[in-house]
Amino acid sequence: MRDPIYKKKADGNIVLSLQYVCAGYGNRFRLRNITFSLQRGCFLGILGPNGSGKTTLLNTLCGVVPLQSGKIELFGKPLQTYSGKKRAALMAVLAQDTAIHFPFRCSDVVWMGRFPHRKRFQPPGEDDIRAVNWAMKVTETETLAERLITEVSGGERQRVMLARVLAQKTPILLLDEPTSAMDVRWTLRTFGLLKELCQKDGATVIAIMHDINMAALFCDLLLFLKNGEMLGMGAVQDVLSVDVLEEVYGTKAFVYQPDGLGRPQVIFPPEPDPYYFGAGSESSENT
Amino acid sequence: MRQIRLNRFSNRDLAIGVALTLLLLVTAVFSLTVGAVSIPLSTIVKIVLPHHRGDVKVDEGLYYIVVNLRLARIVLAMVVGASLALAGVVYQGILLNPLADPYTLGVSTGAAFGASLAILFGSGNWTFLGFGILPLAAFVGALFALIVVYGLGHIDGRLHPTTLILAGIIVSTFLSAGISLLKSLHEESVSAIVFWIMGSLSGKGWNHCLVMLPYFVVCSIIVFFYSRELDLLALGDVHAHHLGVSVGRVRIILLSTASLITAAAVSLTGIIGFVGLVVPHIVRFMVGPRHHKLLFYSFFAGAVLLVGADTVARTILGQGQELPVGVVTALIGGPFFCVILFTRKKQMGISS
Repeated sequence: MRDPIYKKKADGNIVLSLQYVCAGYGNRFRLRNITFSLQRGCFLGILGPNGSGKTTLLNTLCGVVPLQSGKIELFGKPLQTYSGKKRAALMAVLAQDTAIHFPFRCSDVVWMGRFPHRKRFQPPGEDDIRAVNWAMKVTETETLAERLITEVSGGERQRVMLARVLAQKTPILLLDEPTSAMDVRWTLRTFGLLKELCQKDGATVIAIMHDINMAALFCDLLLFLKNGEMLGMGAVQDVLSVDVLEEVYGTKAFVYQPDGLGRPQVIFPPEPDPYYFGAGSESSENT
Repeated sequence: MRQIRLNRFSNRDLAIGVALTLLLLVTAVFSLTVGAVSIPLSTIVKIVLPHHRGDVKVDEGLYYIVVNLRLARIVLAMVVGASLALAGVVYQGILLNPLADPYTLGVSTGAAFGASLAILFGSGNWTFLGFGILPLAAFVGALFALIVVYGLGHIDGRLHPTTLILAGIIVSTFLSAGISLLKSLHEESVSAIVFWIMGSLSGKGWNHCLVMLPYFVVCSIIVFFYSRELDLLALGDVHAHHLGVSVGRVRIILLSTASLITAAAVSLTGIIGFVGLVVPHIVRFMVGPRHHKLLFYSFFAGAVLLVGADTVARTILGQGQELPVGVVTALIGGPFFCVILFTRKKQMGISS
């Protein structure tokens, strides 16, 4: 079931590297001085508050947002030197917005993941059929195959889109909140599946996560963004600290180590709202 | 385990194809027989099939009517119908808007404005390479409108579907006002302008088919060539980019192609509405939204619809009088569209 492309070793095992990347539309840079490189088989979680540039970073990595300065290298070659199709054969992207306007069958959508691997007017080959069937099996979307993408639920649609991304069989996967519409069971299964891809097939996964605890459970590395800048990156145990979390999110954080989990978890204790508190004290004065 | 394959052509598709082809043939043959002079099928067979011509004497007048008037008109109707349907499919797929049609980007009003100017200056008698100057003026008007719309639709050097639609509306509105102005300036030409705008195939012959043919062939080939990219663009720009489509380039190629074919059609026949809007929806409803099928069947369906509508347009009043075919397509298409809209909203992709 493993695709040969996963076994192809890149130079020094670095699949993706960014050096002093600034990116954004027009003159305003949404991202400043992002520098990191990823090895084969890494699972990187990107975390940060709203508007911190998480999606912009992902879109810069896949060439949607223009690079203003700095360098992005994909398998040792600058990202810009890849044609769209070549890039898509190495890097699959699951966008956050999965709404689709036309009533494609779910299997049609998954089949679209094979676009970068197929020549024009070429009938689908064994590889294509195998990849699609595998992708739909692991996401349990086979039963949805004949249904219309416009008629399935949000979580089901997200799974179909995930199957499309998996059917692309790329060594790099970029995912923007891939489980935002999924229930707990599917969230766990999805991240479990991605983790397995990293460990067994050497895939490199970069996922924007909204749930820090889920990220702590599954990721190898975490990257914190705030206002378009990196506030910390490293292994989960090293970077998931009260200092970093409080700086990133601007609210009190509490990190603890649950028994038998092997990974730290985070709780953000509620703080009294200063405005609400102010209103309360005012009313107490009146009485 | 059952394998999930990319089914390319099912028996159902084949049946639909055969049915549409038969329907097209029957409509065309029926259209040949009816009109101011009713000609029996046996005579038509004698005229059309060449091996009869030698031994059976056929009235030359009848031959002229069948071959040079009716057959030419039917062929033009097929080509224009197919072109409009094709353009409709492309526009709906790329602009991600189920209400888009070949005229969304102002091609029609541009053509109408060009034609109105030509009529106003009394150019009806001028000719160019054996054609009236009117189609040429309309074509130039259509291209002009398109260029303006594309110019307005750019933001940061990129085309945005929503901005394009807005630009189309703005340009159309402006040019409509221009047409009204021209009408009020020169009241004698009002009826000519109005009749041109309503769209008609009357008085069109083989030379018009010949003009249309190169556009039709080239544009169809281009659009079919990009049918896979059309599928991905229909998912949305971002998804298409992620899957490796050069979104900007492919989109401008497809939009220009669809616009060009529409401009050619409009300049010859005037504005024939509803074909480009309704046909893609009906066909999508029958064979699904994947574009290689959708384009292929829309071809036939567009041809059938326009040949049928034109036949009605030229026979319903009797005594050689004609309705503009645009009126007929609107009268057939409108209610039909409503029925589909209310029965199968989701399947048509109007859900989100």
